[in-house]
Amino acid sequence: MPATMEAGTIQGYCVGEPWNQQAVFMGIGVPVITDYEIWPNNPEKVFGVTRQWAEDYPNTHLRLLRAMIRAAHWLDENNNANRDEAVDILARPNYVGADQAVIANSMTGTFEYEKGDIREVPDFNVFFRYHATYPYPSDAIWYLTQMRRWGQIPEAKPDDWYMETAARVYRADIYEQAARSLIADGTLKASDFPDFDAENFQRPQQGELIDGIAFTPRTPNAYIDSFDIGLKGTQTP
Amino acid sequence: MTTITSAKNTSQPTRWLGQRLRSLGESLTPGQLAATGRQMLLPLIGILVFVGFWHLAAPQVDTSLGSFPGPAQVWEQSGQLWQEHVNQRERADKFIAMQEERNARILADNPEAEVRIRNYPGAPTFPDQILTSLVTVLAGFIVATAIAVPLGIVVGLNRHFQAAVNPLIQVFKPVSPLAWLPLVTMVVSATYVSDDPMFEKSFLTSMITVTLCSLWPTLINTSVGVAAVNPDLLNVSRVLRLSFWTHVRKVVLPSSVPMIFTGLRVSLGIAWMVLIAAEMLAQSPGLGKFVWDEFQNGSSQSLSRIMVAVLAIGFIGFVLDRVMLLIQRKVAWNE
Repeated sequence: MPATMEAGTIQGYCVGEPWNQQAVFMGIGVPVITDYEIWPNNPEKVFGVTRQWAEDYPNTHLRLLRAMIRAAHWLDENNNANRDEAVDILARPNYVGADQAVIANSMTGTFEYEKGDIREVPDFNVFFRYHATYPYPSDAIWYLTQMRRWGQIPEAKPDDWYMETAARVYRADIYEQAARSLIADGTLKASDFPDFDAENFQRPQQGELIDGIAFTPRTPNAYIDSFDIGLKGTQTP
Repeated sequence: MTTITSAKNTSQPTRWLGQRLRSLGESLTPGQLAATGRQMLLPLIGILVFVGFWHLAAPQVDTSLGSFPGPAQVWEQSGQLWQEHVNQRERADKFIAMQEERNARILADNPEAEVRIRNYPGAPTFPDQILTSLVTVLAGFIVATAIAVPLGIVVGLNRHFQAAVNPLIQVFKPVSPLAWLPLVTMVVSATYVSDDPMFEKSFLTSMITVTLCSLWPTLINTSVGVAAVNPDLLNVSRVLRLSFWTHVRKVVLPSSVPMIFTGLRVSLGIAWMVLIAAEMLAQSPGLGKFVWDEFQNGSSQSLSRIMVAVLAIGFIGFVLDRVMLLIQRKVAWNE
């Protein structure tokens, strides 16, 4: 992507790290704003599989989830102690391949907004802390409200529909199965995970959105109607 | 009084070996060595001057990824690529060993259990990618030859067929591989569907693109060679009333072999060039994909690694051409 911008084919891009830092290092661009400033602790990456695959290969699915939870835990372990080793792995040519110095910035808690303007952003990448890997339904509902706002969901839907869709797609039950198996064989502790007997509906440490409007996951239609721009109520695109 | 001397009763292989040893001995005499040295001196000087110029000029060119790679960086990166290959092979061996141990444990518990060894799923290394490129280009070239030579013979033998087919050849010849590629990709994706495919789709796409672009020189040269058979030989064939197949096998093919081989050499060169572009777009795991991935990575070693690939591509193209020339010298009668 930096190469395409340098060639003049595009004027800018919106993408994850390390391509923003790479533009700064190459001297061809500056990041204007980061995701953390728009909505801290927002849901970002997902691991998605088809229902068919999950039904055909339940054991592989579980093992894969266990491996990912362990990897996320390792990345945040001991106050980010393993991040340097992670940077070494990511810098390999068949993974991310960018230079280590470029990847290291965001992975180790600093961000260079332009040459010389380096700021501390310790939670730029959060992998496991604040229960980051748990699939809270509020995350799904936020994305659904935005899809409704911008017309990807053409008609108005009742609040129940948002709840049901979130429960159907964000499978906390499978996550809990993987987590319990990790606790059972002693790899991770119960305190690493949220309390599985609680409702676990809304992400507890949800940051504030940049537009200042409070996100109310239990009343998604009210949230959609509170915006100035975008579809509201029963409007269609 | 006549004396009959019988010829020495040496076997064929011994005679052949004797001949080879004699010519080796002749080439190692001082006079011959000096002549070979003089032959190799000028090319060597040319190469050294070029490398020297490159070494001096490269740091002058600055890009956003650092200065243009010089011979020293290229050498360093080729060592690095080899080291990565060695490391990957070690990891693959450990992976297989671990599976074997686990299978032994399972079988010790339950001798009836079904066990299998899975292949190491790591990314292909630089030598692996070179091999993939070579296999793809040879496959594409062989298919192109299989289509172009018979078609060229038919076109050359029959004036009417040639007049009918010629406009098509002239229109499709200049089409670039990058223009064929999307069409080939869509057709392969739609028609090559199976649960357990023998070939990767990207391999088929690259191979078919290579075929489409490299069959034209062979086709044209074959048809020209066939059309230009010596009229005396054609008369001989008519007098002897040879059947069509015998005519083709005994008269047409042998006399047009030099032209066919010229076409094949040009086709192979074009096939190799087209392959790199096709691999870049089809993402077939060969040298083209290596260059593209390095470019996308944008690390400070990327340009040096791309230069290593460029030199590898050039060297392999040279070797392929030499091999074709050797085959041509064995088969063609006028070289």
